[in-house]
Amino acid sequence: MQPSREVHRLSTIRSLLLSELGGNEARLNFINTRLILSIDVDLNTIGLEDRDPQKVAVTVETLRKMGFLKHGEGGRGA
Amino acid sequence: MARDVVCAHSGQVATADALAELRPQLSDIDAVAIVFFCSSDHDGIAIERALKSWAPKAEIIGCTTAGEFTHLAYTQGGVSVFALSGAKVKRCAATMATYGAGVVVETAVHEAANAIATKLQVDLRELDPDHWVGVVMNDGLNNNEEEVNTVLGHVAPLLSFVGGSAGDNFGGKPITIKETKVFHDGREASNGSVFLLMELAVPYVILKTSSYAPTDKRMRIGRVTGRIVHEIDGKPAAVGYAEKVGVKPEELNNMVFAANPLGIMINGEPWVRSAVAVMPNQELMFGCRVREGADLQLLRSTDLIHDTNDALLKSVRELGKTPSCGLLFNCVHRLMTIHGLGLEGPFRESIGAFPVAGFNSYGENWLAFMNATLIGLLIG
Repeated sequence: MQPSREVHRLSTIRSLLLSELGGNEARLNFINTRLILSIDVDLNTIGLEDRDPQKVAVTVETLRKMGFLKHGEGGRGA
Repeated sequence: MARDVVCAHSGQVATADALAELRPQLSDIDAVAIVFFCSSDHDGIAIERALKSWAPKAEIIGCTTAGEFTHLAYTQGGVSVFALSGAKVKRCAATMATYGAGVVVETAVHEAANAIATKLQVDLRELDPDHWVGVVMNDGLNNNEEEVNTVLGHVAPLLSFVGGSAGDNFGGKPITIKETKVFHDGREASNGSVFLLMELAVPYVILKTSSYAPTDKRMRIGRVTGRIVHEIDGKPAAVGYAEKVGVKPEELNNMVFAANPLGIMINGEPWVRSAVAVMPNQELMFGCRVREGADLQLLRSTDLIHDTNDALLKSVRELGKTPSCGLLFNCVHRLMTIHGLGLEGPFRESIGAFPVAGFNSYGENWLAFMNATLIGLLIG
């Protein structure tokens, strides 16, 4: 699986997602729990995984299936 | 005077007798949402049709159980019913998805979600999770729960769908598990799911508790096929697991598994994955999928009654008041612990503070599929 051309870091994904959620940290944590349980990615404790291309790609794919990050760095509707 | 909440129960094992006992209990509610739980020896379609005839406006889903209960009764072989009026539910919609030969779970769940969205004329992704909540019950024997939860996360990522997997009779010796079913709209499915989405007129909280705490031991999951784990810590799974638990592989049994599950820790809470059986080549079957390469924490049992009481108190504080009712999904692993330690009385007391209805499930749902957990939807 190739990493997304738009996003190369989980920390960037976190920022984009938080922006799409209107800055609502509680909702981010809700989505994050889904990510941890489904794809073993925790956007709140990224560390060395920040640039793991596999994790980035899987995370982007999963969030896009949820309707987030539809337009890459522009996020939903951009 | 009309009631807004009813948690009804019958311990009768014949469907006609159970319905005769249930009818008067449901006579003074104008129900719009009903969830029922019945022994697999009952005629679930007949129960659903009867409930619909008594409450024609209601959206109704149901499933078979490994035991059913309310705040007043705790049985194997009976029926429990959870009913809400329009004072609690502004609007709701239910549907069923069936799987099986040629039917892709992902497609079926998408179609079910679309059916609900069409009925309600809403976009599920735009719904406010503070007011909308769902219930999902899956059949308990076809291992589709993980995918169902994943797809629910795609179609409605901000919504909670809580629930459990349908059970089969669990009280006999030996335990005989043959078939589980879900019910909706005059139909049943032994390979499917039922969904109910509600816009609540009152606040709600979700309760999740499992009586486990993390130990300092971890297990690295190796090769996995479905829910079968082949390797743990580089060894045959049963060997690797037994070593960490501190028993011999030949000593692994249901009670060891129930006392020593694995878990993913999130914000200090365990999301439990329980081994359920040793397979012929020293593989372990789990009650839900574990990810290949996952690093899971070994959990240890804590005090089930104390933890249940604590979780209920925490939920009451979160809700700001005693709930008017609750829908509970209690894992059969907890049932085994409750029976094994003679905790039936204390457990009934712990869930007896306000009206509840629920059943003993083959796994629980909230954001993912899990084991050995009590999941509850508590309504204000």
